[in-house]
Amino acid sequence: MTSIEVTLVTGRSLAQGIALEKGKLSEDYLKNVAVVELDENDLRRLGISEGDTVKVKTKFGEVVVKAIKSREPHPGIAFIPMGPWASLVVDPSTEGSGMPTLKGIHAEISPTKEPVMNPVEILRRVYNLTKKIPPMDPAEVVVVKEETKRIEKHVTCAFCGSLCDDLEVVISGGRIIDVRKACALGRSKILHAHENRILSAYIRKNGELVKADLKEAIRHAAKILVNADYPLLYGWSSTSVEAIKLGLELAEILGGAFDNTSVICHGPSIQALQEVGLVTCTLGQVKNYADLIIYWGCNPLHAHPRHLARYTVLSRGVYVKSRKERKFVVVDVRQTSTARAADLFIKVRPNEDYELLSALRMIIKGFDIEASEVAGVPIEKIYELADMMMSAKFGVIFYGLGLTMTKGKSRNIEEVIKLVQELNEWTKFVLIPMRGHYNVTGANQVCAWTTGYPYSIDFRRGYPRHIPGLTSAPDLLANGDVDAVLIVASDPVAHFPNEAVRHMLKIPLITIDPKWSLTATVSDVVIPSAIVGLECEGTAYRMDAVPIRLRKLIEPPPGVLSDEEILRMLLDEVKKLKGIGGS
Amino acid sequence: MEILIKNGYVYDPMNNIKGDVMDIAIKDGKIVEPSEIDLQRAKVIDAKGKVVMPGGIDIHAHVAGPKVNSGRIMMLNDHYRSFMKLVPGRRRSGTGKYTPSTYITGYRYARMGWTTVIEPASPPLKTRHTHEELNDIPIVDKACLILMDSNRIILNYLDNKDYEGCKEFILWLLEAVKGYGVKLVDPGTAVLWSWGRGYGLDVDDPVEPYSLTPRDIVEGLCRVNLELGLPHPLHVHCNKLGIPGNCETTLKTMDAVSRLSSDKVILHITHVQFNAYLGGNWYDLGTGSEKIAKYVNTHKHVSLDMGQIDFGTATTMTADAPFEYALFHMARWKWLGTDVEAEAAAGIVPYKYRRRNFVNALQWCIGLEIALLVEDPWRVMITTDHPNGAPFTRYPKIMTLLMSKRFREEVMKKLNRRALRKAILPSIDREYDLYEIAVMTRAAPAKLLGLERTKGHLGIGADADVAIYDINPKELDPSRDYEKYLKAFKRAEYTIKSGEIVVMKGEVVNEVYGKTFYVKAKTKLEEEIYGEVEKFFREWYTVELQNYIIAEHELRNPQPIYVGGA
Amino acid sequence: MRIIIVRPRKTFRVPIEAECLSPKVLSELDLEETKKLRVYEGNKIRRLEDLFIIKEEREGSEESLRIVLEGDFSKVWRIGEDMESGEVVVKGNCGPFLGLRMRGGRIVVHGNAGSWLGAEMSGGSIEVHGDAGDYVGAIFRGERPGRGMKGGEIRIHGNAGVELGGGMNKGLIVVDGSCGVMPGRGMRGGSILIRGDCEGRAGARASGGKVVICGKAGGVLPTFYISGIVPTVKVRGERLKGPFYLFVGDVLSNISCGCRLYISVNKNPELESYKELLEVKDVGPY
Repeated sequence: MTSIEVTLVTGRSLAQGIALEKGKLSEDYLKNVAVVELDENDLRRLGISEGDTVKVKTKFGEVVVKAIKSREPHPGIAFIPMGPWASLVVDPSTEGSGMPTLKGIHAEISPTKEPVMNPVEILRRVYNLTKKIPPMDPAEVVVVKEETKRIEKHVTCAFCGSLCDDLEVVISGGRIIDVRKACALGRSKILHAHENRILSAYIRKNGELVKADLKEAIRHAAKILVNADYPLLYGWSSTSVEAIKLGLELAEILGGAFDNTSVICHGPSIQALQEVGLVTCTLGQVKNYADLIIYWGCNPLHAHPRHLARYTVLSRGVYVKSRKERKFVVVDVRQTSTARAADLFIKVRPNEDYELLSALRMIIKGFDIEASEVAGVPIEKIYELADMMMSAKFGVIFYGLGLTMTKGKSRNIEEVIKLVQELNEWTKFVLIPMRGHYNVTGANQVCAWTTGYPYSIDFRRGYPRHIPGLTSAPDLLANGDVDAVLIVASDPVAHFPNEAVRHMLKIPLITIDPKWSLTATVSDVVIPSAIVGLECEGTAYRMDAVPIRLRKLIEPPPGVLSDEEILRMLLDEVKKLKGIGGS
Repeated sequence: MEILIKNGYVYDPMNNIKGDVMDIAIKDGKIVEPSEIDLQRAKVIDAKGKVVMPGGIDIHAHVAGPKVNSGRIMMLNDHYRSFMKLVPGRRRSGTGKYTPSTYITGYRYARMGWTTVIEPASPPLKTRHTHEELNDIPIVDKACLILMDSNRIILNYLDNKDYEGCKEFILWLLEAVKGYGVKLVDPGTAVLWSWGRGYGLDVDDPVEPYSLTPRDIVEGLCRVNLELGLPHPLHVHCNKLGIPGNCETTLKTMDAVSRLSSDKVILHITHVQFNAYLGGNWYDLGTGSEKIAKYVNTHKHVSLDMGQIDFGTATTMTADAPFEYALFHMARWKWLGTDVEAEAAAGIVPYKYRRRNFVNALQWCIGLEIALLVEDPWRVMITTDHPNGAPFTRYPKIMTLLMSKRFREEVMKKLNRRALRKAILPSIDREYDLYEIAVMTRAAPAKLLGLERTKGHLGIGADADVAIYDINPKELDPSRDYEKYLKAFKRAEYTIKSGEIVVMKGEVVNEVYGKTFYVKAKTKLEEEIYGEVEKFFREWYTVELQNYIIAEHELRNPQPIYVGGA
Repeated sequence: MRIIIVRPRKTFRVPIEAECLSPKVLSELDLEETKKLRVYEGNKIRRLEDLFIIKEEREGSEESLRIVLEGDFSKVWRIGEDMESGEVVVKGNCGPFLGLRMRGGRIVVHGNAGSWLGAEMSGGSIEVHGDAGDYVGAIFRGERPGRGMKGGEIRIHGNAGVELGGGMNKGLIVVDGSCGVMPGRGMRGGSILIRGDCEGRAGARASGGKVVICGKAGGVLPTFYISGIVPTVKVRGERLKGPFYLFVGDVLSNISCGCRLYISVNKNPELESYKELLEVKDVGPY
């Protein structure tokens, strides 16, 4: 049988982001996420057409997905959206950084007759799960009452790190019926808010999740956590700062490990900041001043759809007024849809960003380069980019997971920070990471001010320590170091590499989440929560660390509390079990 | 809780009490007449042979906010080495010495007998962050000053000479972001830094594209500050900070507002040590302390805080971005720079002060010289510009240095010789006494902050913030026994915050949470201003005006201070 | 010689922190005191004897101390921390931070070692018969440059992970197998010898020292300049047969290119193009 060798890239896609809100067990999710995007030529080489199933095989595992044709040509590169399918084939090794290698993996693709497994089948067949999975609660039917319609303005969208705060939400009969100004992702999150919800607390008894009283579930959860020798508290990027604060207090009292999802997105960015610093600004500065905008290793049109229009290329600033006055460059391993809109696209060989960044630094410092090409880019083109950078009035690099997840991890970011620091000798230049979850930046901020460290914090000895690569969630799970896990507003079972998921399924698992995630379905205690920014308020931090208040617009489902309230109850219960007087 | 502190040597400058043996009674968080106390229930603290003072007040320490937090993240090597363990039910844990995490910041202040701290530089757009951190600093009362020097809306008002509009806007802004006062940092530089310029901007240089100079900004905002009747005078970090020859700039800045008042303090020059350099370059750096002190001694409208350095590691962080960039080229290790849209720009660079280094040794001398040469202790306060000069935990050392010439001589033995030849510190004999120290660290900052009704003294009705130090001033001479004083100041015997005992024998025993002060307009602001501000917002910002405003309930214990009104 | 034999009582589930398993601590204590030492099992405080069977033996009359660890210590952290003398022998695998900041003495591992092996060490020797994890002999994140390895030697007979000898100042690291990306990152002195392959970016941001790669190098960073081809290279008295390309760099960290990078000519045909450059260059080997 024919097979081809490709470089595998995983990441967010627009369709994945939209389908996510309908639930990981939904048809839409299966249709949009269990796919591999291949170049037209590669499809032809395999002798298959779009829609056929293929087997993707790497050193770390294999998975069957449906092949689809990529919109843009990218021969030799295969893209699988992040999710349970991609997780089976990614490289779990974090190289002591806490960040598994999720991009730039060598893979083999071959046609197959095998069917695509749905997430439950993956859990059963790949991970040998024996726990029963409960039926989902049906979605409530929305009744629109014209007479009670009201419009909430200046609503902040709690989806991605852009935190657009100009949305208009139409509410009727206590339900959201329409959203204006939002992108497809935000719209999907808000309009599907009532779908796929967890409406009651659950406790697993004899292998089966059964409905339980909230207080009972909290007592049960507290007992699991107090009895554990080393519990892990993970998630925290899709909840409010107020909830994260309580989470940290809980981890501290339990003597556990606390980690937020930045560990598998921009953890390396923070490590680089720790080594060399950072030169950054808020997005308004970019809007008002930037005449050169570079997106490096990210695809904002899919992951942060309004980013270009609101803050960068297409925005109207005070000193730089329009698209015409701005130069727009994309550096990526494949021509993404963002790249197609750019003035200059530089295609870098996978895993060689570091080399390209070094070359740019050399040119800027006036050194010769001996090689004729670096990272697959001809030297002339690198000079062109360097000249553009040096002659800009105000340049900005936005970078994404294309830099943090590939070979070198934090060292790639160090190089780009160094580059920007050095560019400031020529002109004004800044760097902004494209943070994914809406409050992942907030999670880092809270952790830093409470403990001194931004993520991967260990409280075993009664004071905070930070050793990414050892006390980071993917490593703790893959090494089998923890004996209980509390997940808040995250779905590691769907997104963590193979090894880590296996360990998670072996130990007691508690989930606090508004929706049925894969993690929730296999948990031992499930506690439903309200959605921050819709059903309860809280603060979140935008990707540039601007704090923005999220408001309460509607009532949560009956009996459902906010993360903050749940964690406070849990904290009180834990204190009670440990014999600590309330503070 | 009722407390009676018996027989201590009380130092309470505001009530003119200079070490008299007195009883201090506390009830419901306030100081009361001793007769009001029910001795059956009250906790009696025997302070015989001990010093009793109001709780210390720190007028300028970067303890919370976006740049402090970035500093924490960047300086993880500091956090590896210094930590406090969790004591369940009593105190939280934390790490860091130079950039401590929030909880231990509160504990460490309390351990020294300090009960109020002012975060001096918060960019309005990120002040929500500052408040979230302040909410997490236990024990002490706090407030934050708001950065306004490069706020484009304010500059626009000043440029148009629309002082009335400016007044309204500033009051609105303070209330919107729950700030306490107006802070200027190197006025105007953040505007130029948006194009990578602005290093060394002097008082009379233009701040393009406005037809303003830093002098205009200082003068204009000082006037606005005065006319609004804000509780705290204009808080200024002068131009050209950290550049040799900046003494002239400082003098010009102080003189720029001299005609606005002749008796009342209207301008506070912060961390003046960094702004008192003579000379044309680092090699021929000289001390400007005499010039500064002379000006302050002859003009009543300015007050100072020291910005003393101490040797060892420090993390410089300031909203003077171009200076930090320049410092990065000297220190060559890490540099973090952040611009905040339409408002400010900050930088962070780790730095190490060395005894044998000429510049550092002279800096150390200059700070002390100024404190010793300024005659009026009510107008010079102790700070280290934490964490720029040294962490705030060095205050006891600085207090002791001011009290003991012998201690100063001891330290000077190890300093760079050339620096000592240039310094005038070796020839200064003045030694502060305990009463003057109580002025500098308690009464004066309370008065300057406009909190003198409830803070900084132990009179009836004052907040029961009290520090008790285990030192007998009648037996120990600070000049000779400076080590004992240093030890006593480092760990208070007792610290009482709002009537609760929080520190005993130098250890935190109880966690309470202080208030956050902020300025609120007596009357509601006109609707018109909204329209105008909203227009600017659309143009300059990427957030909606409505989401910029911080609600009162986002603060843990909000304490409004009412001001004039439009 | 005093020999203390330590054996785990059970298979550990959570990490054990036992910085007391170091000659520095044990040399001053008798057996009874040793048994009462505090160790952490996850977040629970235990006595050493709760988790391990501890025996003492004597051999000869010397006063030195040998700690023998038998069994699986792969979850045990910080063995041999700060040690100044004596010997630690691990008969099995061991966990991270073995020989952290060690200043003298000897550690032998008859199995695999975890990450941060001999991190920030300044003396003594470590020998690992199996593989070692990431950051062998490296400097911790965010530390002031110069705190990296200051002396001593580490020999690994198997493979090693990423960033071998990061930030090292002095000393020697030898890997008989292969290693991960960025060996000698930011190094300022000392020598690294890799007999097998490397995943690339050797000597990134280095300003001094010497890296020798006998296998595939995985490419050379553009910040390194070719300086010549040498027939042999000497590492701590051992002469290695080449020929080797000699590169110098990292020009971005040190303008005078203080770090020398030797890469096998025969194993790296993709570097052929550098030979042409040498012909036009009249710079001799450094």
